[in-house]
Amino acid sequence: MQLGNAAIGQYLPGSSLLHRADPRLKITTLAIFAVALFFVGGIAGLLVMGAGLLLALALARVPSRLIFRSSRPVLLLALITFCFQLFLHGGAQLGHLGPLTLYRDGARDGGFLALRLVLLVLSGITLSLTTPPVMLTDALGRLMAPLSQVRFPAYELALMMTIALRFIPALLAEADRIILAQAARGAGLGGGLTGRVRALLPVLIPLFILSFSNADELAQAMESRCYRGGRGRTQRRRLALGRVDALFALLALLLVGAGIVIGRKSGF
Amino acid sequence: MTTQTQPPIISLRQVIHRYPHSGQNAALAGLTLDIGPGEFVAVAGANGSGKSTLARLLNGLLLPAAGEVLVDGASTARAENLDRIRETVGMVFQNPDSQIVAGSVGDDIAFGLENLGLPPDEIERRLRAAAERFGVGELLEKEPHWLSGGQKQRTVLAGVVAMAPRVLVLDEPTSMLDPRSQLEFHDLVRSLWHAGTTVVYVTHLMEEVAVAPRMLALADGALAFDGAPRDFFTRDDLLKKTGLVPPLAMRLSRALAAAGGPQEPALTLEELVERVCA
Ligand SMILES: Nc1ncnc2c1ncn2[C@@H]1O[C@H](COP(=O)(O)OP(=O)(O)OP(=O)(O)O)[C@@H](O)[C@H]1O
Ligand SMILES: [Mg+2]
Repeated sequence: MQLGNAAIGQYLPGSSLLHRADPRLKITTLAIFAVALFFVGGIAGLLVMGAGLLLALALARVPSRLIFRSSRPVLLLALITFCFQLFLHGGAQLGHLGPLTLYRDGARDGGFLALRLVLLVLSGITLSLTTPPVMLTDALGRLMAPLSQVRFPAYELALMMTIALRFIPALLAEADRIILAQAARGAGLGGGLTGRVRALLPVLIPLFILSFSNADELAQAMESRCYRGGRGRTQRRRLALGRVDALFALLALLLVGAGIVIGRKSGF
Repeated sequence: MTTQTQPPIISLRQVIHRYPHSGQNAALAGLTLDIGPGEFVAVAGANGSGKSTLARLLNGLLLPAAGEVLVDGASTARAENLDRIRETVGMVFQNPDSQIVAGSVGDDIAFGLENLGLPPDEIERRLRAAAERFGVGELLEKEPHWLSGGQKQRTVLAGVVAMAPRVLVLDEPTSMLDPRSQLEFHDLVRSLWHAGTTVVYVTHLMEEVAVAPRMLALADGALAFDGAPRDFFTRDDLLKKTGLVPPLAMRLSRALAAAGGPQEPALTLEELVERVCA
C-alpha cells in the first residue's frame, strides 16, 4: 500500500497558453464555463465546448492517457447516468436489448446529461493539470481578498489550503511508514470491511497525534518568522493581467458563446 | 569574543519559567546572563535541562513567569515589542519538516519576507541571494517533500537569514541530519557568525560546543557554567553536575595522558594531533 506515491495535485509543467494564463483568470473562466454548461440547450453545443476543451488540452501537450486516467471515475458515473435514461426514459422505443427496452428520447437525454457531467469534471481537471497547486491556492486567496472587508478570513483560508497541500504528501508518507512499522510487528491488513477499518485505526491515531504535534511546532516557526495574519503582508508573486490573458479570455468567451449559440440553434 | 563595550543584544534578568500543569518545578530557575552583539554562544545540557525553553524565551515565543528578557533593550513581555523582537531574533528549530510552510522552496524562503511587507522585487532579490548562499538556489521550484533532510534544513535557514535577523537562535538544528550534513550546516552557521550575526546555538554535539568561544551549560533549569568550553570540559565536578560528556578528542587526550602521553588536554582533534606529534 504505497500511499506516498499517490498523485496529489496532478500538475503537469508546460508553457502553453493554458499554462501561462493568470491563475485568477483561469479559476474565473472555469466558474463561467461550468455555469455555461447549464445554459447550453443541446448536445451539439456541448460537443463544441468539449472539442474546444480537448483542443486546448492537446495544445498544452497533456497526454491523453493522463486525461483518461483522471476522468475515469466520472466516466463510469456518466455511463450509469446514460444507461439509466436509455432504459427507463419511456416514450418512443428504439429497440430491444434482451429483456430491456431502449428509448429514443432516453438516448438523447442520457447522452446530454452524461456529456455535461463529463465536461464539468474535465474542465476542473484541465485547471489542475495546467496550474501548480501553489498558484491555485494563491489565486484563490487573491480572488477572495475583497471578502476580508466583511471580516471573511480570506488570507487565512488560502494559507490553510497551502499548508494542507504542503503536508498531505508528508502525512501520506508517514502513513506508509506506520503501516510498515505495524506490519513488521505482525499487524495484518485483514480481509473484509471491518478487518480493514480495524487495520486502519492504529494507523490513523498516530497520524493524528503526529499532525497535531507538527501543528504546534509549525505555528511557532511561523510566529518566529513574523507571521501575524494577512495584515501588512505582501506577496512574492506580482500578478498582472497581460496580453496572454486577454487572448485566453477571448478564446474562452468565444468557446462558451459558440457552445450556447450552437446548442440553441441546432435544437438537438 | 565578548564585546563588553557595547550594550548586550540579549539580556536575561532573573528569568524563571514554569510550564502550565507542571506543578512547582520550574523549567528555568532564575537565569541571569548577557549576550553581546557578534557573540557565538553554544548552549549545552542534558535532556530536560531547559535548553529549548531558554531558546523560546529569546524571541518571546515563551514569556518568563518572573524576571525579564530584553532584546536590544526591549522586554519580550510587552506585546507591542514582539514584532520588532522577532525581526531581530531569527529561530531555527530541530525538525525541518515542521518549519516549512509553503509548497515550494522559493515560496517558503519568501514566507518571512512577505510577512515583513517587503515589495516583490526586494523579496525576489533577497530570497535568491539566500538560496544561493545556502546551496538551494537550484531547488527553488521543488516541493518540500522532495528534499533531503539537509536540503530542508538549509531551506529553513535560508528563509530565516533572508529576513536579516541580527541574532540567530538555533535549537538542535542538526539533530535530524546525517553526519556530513551536520558538519555542512554547522559550517554555514559559523560563516554567518563570521559575517557579524550573533549566534545562540543549542546542541547535543560536544564537537560543536568545543569550537565555540563561549558556552552555557544548563543543569535542571539553572546555569551551571558560563565561559570558555576548555574551562568547562576540564572540570569533572561540572561534567558530573550537568551530565555532559567531553568531546571525543578530549576523552582520547585524557586517556593518552593517563598512559603517560602529553599531559596538556586537547579540545579538538587538530589540537590532539598537534600535542601527540609535537
Ligand atoms: N510544553 C511543556 N509542558 C510542560 N513541561 C514542559 C514542556 N516543555 C518542556 N517541559 C519541561 O520543561 C523542562 C525543560 O524542557 P526543555 O524542553 O527546555 O529541555 P531541553 O533541554 O530542551 O531538553 P532536550 O535536550 O530533550 O531538548 C523539562 O523538565 C520538560 O519536561
Ligand atoms: Mg530541546
